[in-house]
Amino acid sequence: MSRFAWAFVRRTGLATLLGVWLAGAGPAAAASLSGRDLQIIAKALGFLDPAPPGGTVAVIYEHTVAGSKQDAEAIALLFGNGLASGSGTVNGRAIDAGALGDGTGYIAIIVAEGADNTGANPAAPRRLLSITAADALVRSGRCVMAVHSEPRVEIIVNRAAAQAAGIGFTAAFGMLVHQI
Amino acid sequence: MIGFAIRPMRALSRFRLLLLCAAAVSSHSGKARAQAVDYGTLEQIFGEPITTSVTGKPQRASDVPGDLVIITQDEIRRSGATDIPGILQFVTGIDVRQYSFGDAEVGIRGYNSVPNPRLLVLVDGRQVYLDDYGYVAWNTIPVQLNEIRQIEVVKGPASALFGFNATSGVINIVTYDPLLDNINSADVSGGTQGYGGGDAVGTLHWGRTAGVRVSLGGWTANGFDSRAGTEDAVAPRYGSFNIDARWQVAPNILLRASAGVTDARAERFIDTNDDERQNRLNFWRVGAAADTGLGALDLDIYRNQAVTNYGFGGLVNDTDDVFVAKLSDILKPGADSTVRLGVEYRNNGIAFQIKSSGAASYDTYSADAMWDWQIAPYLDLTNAVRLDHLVLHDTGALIPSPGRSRAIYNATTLTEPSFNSGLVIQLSDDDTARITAARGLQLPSLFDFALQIPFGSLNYLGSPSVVPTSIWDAELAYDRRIGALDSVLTTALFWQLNTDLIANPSTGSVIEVNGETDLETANVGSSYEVGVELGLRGKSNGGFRWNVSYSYSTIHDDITASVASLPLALGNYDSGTPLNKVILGAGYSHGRWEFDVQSRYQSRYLDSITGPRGAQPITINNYVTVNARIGCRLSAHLTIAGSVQQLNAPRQFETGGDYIERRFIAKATWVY
Repeated sequence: MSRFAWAFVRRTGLATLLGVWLAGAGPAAAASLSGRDLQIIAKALGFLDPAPPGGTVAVIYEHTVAGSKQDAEAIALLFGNGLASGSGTVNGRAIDAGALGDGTGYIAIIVAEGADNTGANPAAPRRLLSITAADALVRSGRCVMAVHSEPRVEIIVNRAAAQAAGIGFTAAFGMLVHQI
Repeated sequence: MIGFAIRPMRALSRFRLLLLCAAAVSSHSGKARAQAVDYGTLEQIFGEPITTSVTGKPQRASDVPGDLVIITQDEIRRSGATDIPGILQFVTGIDVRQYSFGDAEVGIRGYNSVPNPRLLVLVDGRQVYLDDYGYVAWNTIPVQLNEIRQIEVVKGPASALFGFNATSGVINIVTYDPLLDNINSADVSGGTQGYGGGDAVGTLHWGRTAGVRVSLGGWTANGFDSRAGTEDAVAPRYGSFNIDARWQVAPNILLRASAGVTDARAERFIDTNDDERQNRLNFWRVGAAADTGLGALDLDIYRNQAVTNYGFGGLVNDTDDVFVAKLSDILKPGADSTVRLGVEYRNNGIAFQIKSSGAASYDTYSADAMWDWQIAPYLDLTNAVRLDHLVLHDTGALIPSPGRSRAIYNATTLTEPSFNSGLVIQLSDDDTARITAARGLQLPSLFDFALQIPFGSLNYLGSPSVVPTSIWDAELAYDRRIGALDSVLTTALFWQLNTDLIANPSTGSVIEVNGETDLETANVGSSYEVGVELGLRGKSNGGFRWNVSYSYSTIHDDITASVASLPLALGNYDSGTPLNKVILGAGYSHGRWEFDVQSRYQSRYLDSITGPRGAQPITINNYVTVNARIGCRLSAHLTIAGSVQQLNAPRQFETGGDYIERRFIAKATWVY
């Protein structure tokens, strides 16, 4: 959904109605990240420097934005019983962005749709890797990494955002991603 | 860590760059993490093989600025081959000439010969090319097929990264990482021609910081019949033991060590027409990798020793020692740039049996640089340059001949530049175009420089005045992914100019009259080639896979008259390269079963046969080879397979060497 459409939904108060409708709509809405995307993300976490020994990824949402929570929950669901990452396993947990606190207990943050309305990189003050499906968030520095698995796997990393969050990758991985 | 700790520095001076790099080291070295390229995980992430064989930096196979083919372990297994040339013969643009059981000459894009000095072959980046005669003894490659992760074939010169002899291309055999991969297997095989073999590969890990892989394998056979239809007197054999270790001593430092011994015997060495060529090889290697704010530093030191009996009455037996030390650094000074810097020292010496009082050697000092510039998301330009400076030495007695004195040898130096440039254009998600240009170098072998064999009234002599062959190469390539067919179309149009071609003494070069007749190494002219390669390969979700390719190349030689007058001079590169090659293959996997068939047609070419009257040309007619394999996974641990090589003919001539016979092979593999 475009930024203009989201603004319209919020201003007209349709967000709550839309959220209620989506929550009760039976099958979960399609997540902004696919299962393949999450496998890539999980393995990419193993190339962080230093690499976390597994753990939990916070999938943050903005409760005031319709559909955001549903997207986060759908993403968290795709982690299943955990995805292989480096030397460990990572799980996902949907959490309200406002409840993230200092990020203790999480190894990275996935930004669900609609959770990007703060205008800042949510991971920077917490020194965590932030991940999204939206290239625009990475290009604007509000997220460190974007991941796409279709039609061709592409990983985009914002160097300045990574530096601000104190994030580094191993040399080989750093040379294989598209840095901006 | 390359990481993101260094600001973009494109516009900075070299001095400021060094200062900033030093600062980066001091502030980040403590948290950096050295890591060998984790081929397995990175391949899972990006959905395609990863390679370092084109530019030295890790790249996705589809992104490299060069013509690259990667043969995966799955493809190796499904080939049913018992050796690496048997796998390579079904790669577009590769010319495999099997002269005897288990031994072959392999060329890329024509110019194949016996021996073939134009193809550099590496195992994990360590050369197994033999500098004495300038060739690869394919029956001695110190690796078991089960421990190979992938075989990387780079077509075209790659001297700017690998130095001399990466001339027609490079084949880098990449094995599994003893620290990151856990490979444990054993297999036994047997077949016709008295073939029997087996190998075992085991990996031990100590936590996540150390790992060792050990491999042991070998085979024996009766071999193929000679051209006369009789069984060769010498039975070929192969045995190899290798150990490879990694130790992550600190988060940012990885140490490597490996060593191995190999003993192999080929039933025939066509170049001397003797009934045996025996190689005993050993090597040791140590290295270290460190991720620092200065970049990814890598130190690699190794020594190869090859003791070879070439037959020929023992006159050509020799010991070849190679010592290599190289240091490289890959750094990413900006989001859109990657730079690789390297220096290398190499000492290469040979002691001839006939020259017990002395030896010939050279020292080579090299420096190289590579800059990969991502101009735009869809446009990438890579430029690499290298400078090699060689100093020649010779000690001991010399057969008197004009231009061959000790002083001349020891005053001989060579300084040669090489380069590789490549522009990769992502036309769309499915279309990629590449434009590449290169200058590669083929160094005269140590025989070419220093051989001296008095043979009756005939002297075979090396020469200190011979210079490297220069190979100028240009290529235009286009690849397209066809989603509807789950397939990939690859096309390439290439042109190559070879100047200062080297004719070695044994193939006949320049006839001199010095009271006696001397055959001496010389630069003898030039040659150019134009060729095209087309390939299409795909697979279906139902388990089918298929491939088809066609390659055509034509060569035109311009050789000096004195050489062209010899019966087998280099003037035969044009007729010595098949014009047309077609490869067809298909496979199907269903449950625990695998079925694969590969076939190859190549048009006639002119080879040589060495007899009592010296080397004579011989025409090898068009031929077809069809190989097939059936495999069945009986359990999670045990797989059995049956394969047949040259299903279509009981025996046929494919070279000037022995008959190539139909082979049946049964194999059982236990993975634990």
